[in-house]
Amino acid sequence: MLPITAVKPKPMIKVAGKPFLQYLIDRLLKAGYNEMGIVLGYKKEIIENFIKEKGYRIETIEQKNLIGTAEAVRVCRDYVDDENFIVVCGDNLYSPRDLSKLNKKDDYCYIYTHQGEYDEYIGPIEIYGQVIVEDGFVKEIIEKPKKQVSDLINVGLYKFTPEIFDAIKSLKSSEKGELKITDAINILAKDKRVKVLEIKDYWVDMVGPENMYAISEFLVENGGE
Amino acid sequence: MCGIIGYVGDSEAYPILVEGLKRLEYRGYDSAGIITSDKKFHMKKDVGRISRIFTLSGGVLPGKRGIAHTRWATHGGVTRENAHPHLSCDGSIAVVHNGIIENFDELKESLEKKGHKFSSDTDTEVIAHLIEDSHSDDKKLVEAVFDAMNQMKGSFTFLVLDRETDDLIAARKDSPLVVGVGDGENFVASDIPAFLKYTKRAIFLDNYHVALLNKEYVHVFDAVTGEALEPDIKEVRWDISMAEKNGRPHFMLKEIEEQRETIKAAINQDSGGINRVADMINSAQGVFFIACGTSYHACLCASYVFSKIAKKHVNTVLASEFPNYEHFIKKGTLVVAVSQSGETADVLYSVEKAKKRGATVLSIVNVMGSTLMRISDHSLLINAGPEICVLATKSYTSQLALLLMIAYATIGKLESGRDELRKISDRVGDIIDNMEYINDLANELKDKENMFLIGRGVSYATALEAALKLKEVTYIHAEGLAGGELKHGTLALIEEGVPCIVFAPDDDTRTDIISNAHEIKARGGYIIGISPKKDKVFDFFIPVPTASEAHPILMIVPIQMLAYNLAVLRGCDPDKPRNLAKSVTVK
Repeated sequence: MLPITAVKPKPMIKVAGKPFLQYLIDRLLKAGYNEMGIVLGYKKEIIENFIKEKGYRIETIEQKNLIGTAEAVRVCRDYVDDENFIVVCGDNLYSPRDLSKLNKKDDYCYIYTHQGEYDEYIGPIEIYGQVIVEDGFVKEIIEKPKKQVSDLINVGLYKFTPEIFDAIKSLKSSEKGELKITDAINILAKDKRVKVLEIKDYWVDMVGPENMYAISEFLVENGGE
Repeated sequence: MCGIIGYVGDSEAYPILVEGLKRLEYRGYDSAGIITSDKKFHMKKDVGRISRIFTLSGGVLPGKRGIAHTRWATHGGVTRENAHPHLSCDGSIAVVHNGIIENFDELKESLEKKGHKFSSDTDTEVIAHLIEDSHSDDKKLVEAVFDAMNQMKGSFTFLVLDRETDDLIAARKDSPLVVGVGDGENFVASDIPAFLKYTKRAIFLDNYHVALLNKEYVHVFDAVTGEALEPDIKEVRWDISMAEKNGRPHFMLKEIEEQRETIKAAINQDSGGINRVADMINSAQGVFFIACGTSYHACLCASYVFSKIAKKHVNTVLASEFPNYEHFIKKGTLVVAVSQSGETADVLYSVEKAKKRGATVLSIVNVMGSTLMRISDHSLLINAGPEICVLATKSYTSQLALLLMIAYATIGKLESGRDELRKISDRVGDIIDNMEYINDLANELKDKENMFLIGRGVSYATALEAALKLKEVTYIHAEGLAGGELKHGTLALIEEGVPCIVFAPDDDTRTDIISNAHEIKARGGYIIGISPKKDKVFDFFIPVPTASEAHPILMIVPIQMLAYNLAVLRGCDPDKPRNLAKSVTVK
């Protein structure tokens, strides 16, 4: 998303007058998630200042090695302790209603999926992983398959139990040296530990300048709510 | 742009209000008024200079509560009657207002049916009557203010003073409003300089926020829900000169940023006036758009847009060259003269010539009551508010927005055009909000001696305007040209590292302009692409939103920001470029 993100991290891009991250935090609060930690890496001081200025009570967790999404979850180990928790990406947005449905007290992991057409509020469909489901459980998430294997897309919104940390520990880094959270989920999926939820309201993924303005328009039309 | 100020406390209100008005003078005005109360109202208002209307020898209005206003006329001419404050029927509620109430005609009509009597032509008076209408023994005045706000459309930031209580009410929609929190006294004004001498503690009100002030407290409410809000008091660290610029170091930056509001002001005007102008264009035998400088570029854009949207041919001519066309002017010809100040000598001269030959003259100006407006048969205002910086920024985008609206109106699509432009105006806000990176580009370009800017179709006009912005404030030689013309000469000037700004909207010019960019790059040029879509030819990419015909409004904003940043880096004064004047009153 250069050059805008050459000077600030993506969640700090302003849409409809406010940083994207603010919409996300406000929705999470509305959905009832009052304890939040935020994993920061690139230009972290800008987000730290924003959180301080807004008076949000959010713990900041530093990710020193930017080696993938599994590492971003791993660095939260101490923060979440032995509790269940949810994981949201800083450049994605969902309705408070969909977010609140993830607050499951059981000891399964959950992933949200989106079944449907491409729209301008998300990126091109081929950049997302597809989710194969069997008997209500995730069988496997397949990243960017060449051929369509499922019409369910992984939207990157998860509820985890602490067993995800064991799965992350057993991961081997990919050829590019990347540790992916979807690989860790696939390990748990083999034992039928991961269930599926489906987006009912909306899903926004700010992929770059090509859709940030459309997202801004969407937020204006929804009164920022 | 109107200015408003209110005071409530233990001191006499009048001297504080007069001083506050003087602090708001820089915003420009044509008339002013003050009302104070000591359980009786005392009012003074008139056309003219503040120092003349409120002379101390003319007596002091008594009372420790009051509101005041400088007016920059939009609805209704420059007369004493139309100056603010305006009163309710029973004379117990006074209002001053900044903005334009879009649905004022229908509100006025329904109030008149209920027996309300109006004594001015202003939209503002509606507010006083709406509040009076809703106010009752069961309904507090502040609740009546909520009701009034929820009935109005448009922009309406206003103050309400009632005769009897110890309060003052302030409401904001679109135009700025700031509460100054004092010790045993409180202030409210459209701008901080008005009260900065007394307090540096301020509450910046948001849209649909209402503040209830008396000398002891300030309560803030949400007008839509009626809920009380926790006021967010901020310490202001500005001196007076910074405060006039809204905390910005220069008027140029302030005016660029104001575009998120000024475009809305240009489009939120009466459909009647715009449709009338569209009819004039439709029925004319020959249409000439005449203007100078930036206004000329707005006209050039308009000629493309009229051709595309309305399939209508309009001629665009530099006002200084227009006399050469006088033989084509006859009765039935429509001359559309566009000028920010309305005092541009070349425009006035050409308009007089055209009138002598029987042409009808329509003018599009920013300054109410200007010479051009007075000598025209019909006028529209762009309502951009005073533009202090010599460079035209917000007046340009407002002219473009209004001209686009007129083009849509000529084919009976005014409302859909307005909706489209409203979105464009929001997107301008997005661009401005994410412009921090432009300083990196300015640093790369600051020692360059030449720059080239290319566009095709309507973006050719954008290239010309962009080149003008860059040269007048950075003194770097910048040349705008049509992409197709490169090969006919200018390509000879391209060498290693020469910056070239390419306007590549998502329209039918894209493929060709991208090929032109390749031609430049092959000769060592450094390509800066302004576009909704990235392309590999761009060395530096400035993303803008997609837009149908309105992209000239969006594409110029990053250039204005670039020009400003370059000027500052090169040590040029952005507000006062050498050798130039704001209003060119000589031929």
